Amino acid sequence: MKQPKPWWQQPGFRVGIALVLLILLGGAVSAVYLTQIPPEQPIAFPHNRHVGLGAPCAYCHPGTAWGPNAGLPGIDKCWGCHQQVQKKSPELEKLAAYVANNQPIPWVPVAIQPEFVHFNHQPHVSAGIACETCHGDMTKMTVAEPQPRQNMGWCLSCHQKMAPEQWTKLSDCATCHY
Amino acid sequence: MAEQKAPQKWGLVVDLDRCTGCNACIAACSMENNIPFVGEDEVAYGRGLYWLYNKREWRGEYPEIKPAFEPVMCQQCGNAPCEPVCPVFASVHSEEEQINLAVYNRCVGTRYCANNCPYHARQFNYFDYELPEPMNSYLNPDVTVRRRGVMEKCTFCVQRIVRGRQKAAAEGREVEDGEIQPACVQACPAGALVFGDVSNPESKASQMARNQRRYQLLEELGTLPRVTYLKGGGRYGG
Amino acid sequence: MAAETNLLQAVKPAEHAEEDPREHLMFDPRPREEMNRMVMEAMTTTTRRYWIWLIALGLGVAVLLFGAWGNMILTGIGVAGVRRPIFWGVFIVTFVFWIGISHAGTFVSAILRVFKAEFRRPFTRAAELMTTFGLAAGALYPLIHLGRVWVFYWMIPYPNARWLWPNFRSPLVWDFLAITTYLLSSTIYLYLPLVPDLAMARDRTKGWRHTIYKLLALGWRGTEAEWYRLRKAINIFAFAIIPVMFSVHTIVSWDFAVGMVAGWHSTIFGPYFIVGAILSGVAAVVTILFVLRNTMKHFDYFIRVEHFDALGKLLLVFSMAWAYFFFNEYLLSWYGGDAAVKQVLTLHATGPAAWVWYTMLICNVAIPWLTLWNKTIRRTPWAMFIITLLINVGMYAERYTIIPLTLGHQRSPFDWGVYNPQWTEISIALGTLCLFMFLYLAASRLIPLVPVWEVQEGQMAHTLRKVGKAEVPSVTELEE
Repeated sequence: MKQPKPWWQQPGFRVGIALVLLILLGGAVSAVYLTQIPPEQPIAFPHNRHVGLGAPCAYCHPGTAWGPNAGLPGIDKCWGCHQQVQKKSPELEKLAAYVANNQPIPWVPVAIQPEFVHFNHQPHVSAGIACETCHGDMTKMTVAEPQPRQNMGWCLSCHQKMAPEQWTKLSDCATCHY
Repeated sequence: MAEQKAPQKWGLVVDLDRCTGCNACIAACSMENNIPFVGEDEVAYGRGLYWLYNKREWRGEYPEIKPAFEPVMCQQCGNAPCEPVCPVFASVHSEEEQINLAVYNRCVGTRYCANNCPYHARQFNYFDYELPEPMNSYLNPDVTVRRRGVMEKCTFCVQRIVRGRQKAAAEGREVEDGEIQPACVQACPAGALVFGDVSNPESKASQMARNQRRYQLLEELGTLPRVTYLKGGGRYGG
Repeated sequence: MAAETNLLQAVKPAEHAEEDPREHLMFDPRPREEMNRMVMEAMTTTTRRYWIWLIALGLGVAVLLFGAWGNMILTGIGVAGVRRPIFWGVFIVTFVFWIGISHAGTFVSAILRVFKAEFRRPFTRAAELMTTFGLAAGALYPLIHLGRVWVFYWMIPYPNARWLWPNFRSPLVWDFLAITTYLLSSTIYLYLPLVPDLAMARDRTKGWRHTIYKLLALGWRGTEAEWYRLRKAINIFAFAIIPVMFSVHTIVSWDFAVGMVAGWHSTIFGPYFIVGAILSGVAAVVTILFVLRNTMKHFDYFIRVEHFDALGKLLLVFSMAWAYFFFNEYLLSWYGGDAAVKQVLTLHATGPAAWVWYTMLICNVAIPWLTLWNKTIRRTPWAMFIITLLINVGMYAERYTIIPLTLGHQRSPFDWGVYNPQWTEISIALGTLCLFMFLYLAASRLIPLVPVWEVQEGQMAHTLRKVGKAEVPSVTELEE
């Protein structure tokens, strides 16, 4: 007489386990993927073209020179140039529409810090840190993309490497957390 | 900064002769540091969140009775009892600022530091507190809003210290005496609170602290508090 | 100590005349197979009452412990009664209580084994189970009382992206390491002497039980070499676990003694806590032995009045030692002359919660001293049950006095406060009691609760020899 297979050898059970594992794996992969895709922006701003034309980052993000926030350009800043430039692309039509209605452009910030981290652009810029050190190579992006693996150890390793003589100050908790 | 110099030691001097007990410092502190309102019942049970509270004692026999005020905040001990007991370095001494930090995002909430503080200066977030509608619009973006289960305490407004230092560095100068002021000092109408660098003997705080009336809270415990009190004579309003 | 606990020396010639040595388990041997069968029967017999208790306790764990804890995690520690300046309450009290209870197992099975106290034999396992389950219940509290339990792993030393380590100067990190060490070593120490009994059970069962015992018995056959190695391992462990046991409660006491809270900062706290822990632990052993004797089949053969008698003597000694340390605390504060400490200690006896202090003294000193000197009371199991329960009430009151009542009256009278335990705390405390009882109840039907081989070994060594007309107990040394 043929012995019935025990429950853990039943094909249904095995297929079920495989499905559960697959779903878990897929969930993990897509979770990682989803955090890395750039958010939807009101205007698909081509960073690469502007940087390629030689526009300095601080022209549109001037806050880096004096304060914590870099700032995102408003309609005045965009329109200052684009008033003179031909509006051929549909993205520029959108800009023109914001200007016509006198509405702010609802940019979605990409490089954001957690609430308990107080980052200040100004000391970093005055220390001569290039923008792409943290924000990635903008000549290769249209809209800004989130940069992976920017955790506390990443901050600390740069602080240690760039200014070892100021390590006491730059490793102090109150430098970023208060 | 080219040459390495000794870090500034921030200190606070409280002149009790000038304190009128108006509690403006408490209000200013709460506004500056995003301290939530916990509600009547919670305060009555002893869970009011105040980084700075006014110890009010009655002196004398009725009817010759007079109040004595003593604003108590974190004493920023040089040898702080709260620091060694924290298992995760959430209560940690800042080598740079020479004060005691409360790192909210590192805190796991053992509350050991609060038990060990002889001044009872540390507060705990028992719940997540919601600020009522118009108040939530003026949360200070420079200060973390704490969630439930986290210890917090007076930081000498370290956000203002850091900002003042960064400003001075950007302008290529030293921090001037009196340039950095915590919210309580700024708000005190009587000038009872003076903040400054106590390692610099010329600063206003150092000069005030060299006074016969000076004392520190529970000095005998060896905590080396950074807050100096000037004993009041009990002459109120004059 | 050995003289106190050694049965043969305890039975003095004068008493010997009126006492039949056959009342003692060691002189009342039964055939091996019969004893094995008795233990197996005790393990496999489950009554309806048993299942009702098991399900009720399981529900208690789910609702009282995990329900209340889950609610507290979601809403915040505020549902417990802690407030400024009393930041530690019932949770830490119960934590210290359970860690105290867990000392009994090691004390009974390691120290009494090292001192060759023969009366330990039938209940070493019952005591070791208490250690393991008491620790399991107690080890939950460092997690329960955390404000943010979801980041508890920050207290574990591991390399991480934040470049941060735990603070090794903090007693809480020592605590964490000590408790994990103790849990691990006491589990191994429970398991080692269990192997021959599991093999015994393996040979006498079928079905799922057989599968489990086969796995757990590690292929034990009972050869001479195996016995030799087992004895050696148990011996090494018995010596090694004693310092671990002492260190654990010393470190728990350092949670308090290292702080600068008036009334905590005392060098006497280490030994004071250990003596208290052993007092409460041995008392809990007696409580459990009474329950086992009255509920499990054949246990009236294994657990006899002589055991209550011997443990009663131990309890009296430890109650006296505890009283000495208690007195010492006052002596130190008087000698040290710190006004704040003096005030705290005075307020314990005169403050609004003085009844806790009096409960502690009545249950820990008055009741044991008034009753345990009496042989008749020591040999009455139900009286011992009540006395030992009261001792544990007293020990709980001691921890309550030390923690919230001391914190409430510190150096600045402006900040004095009163602590009111809330239902969440009481529910979680009862929930861990349910957890302990649930685990014990489940284990009592899963593993042999009497170390059969130890009893048999003891009975082989003990014989009654005729000298003239008198029968004289004699014992052979089994080990070198």
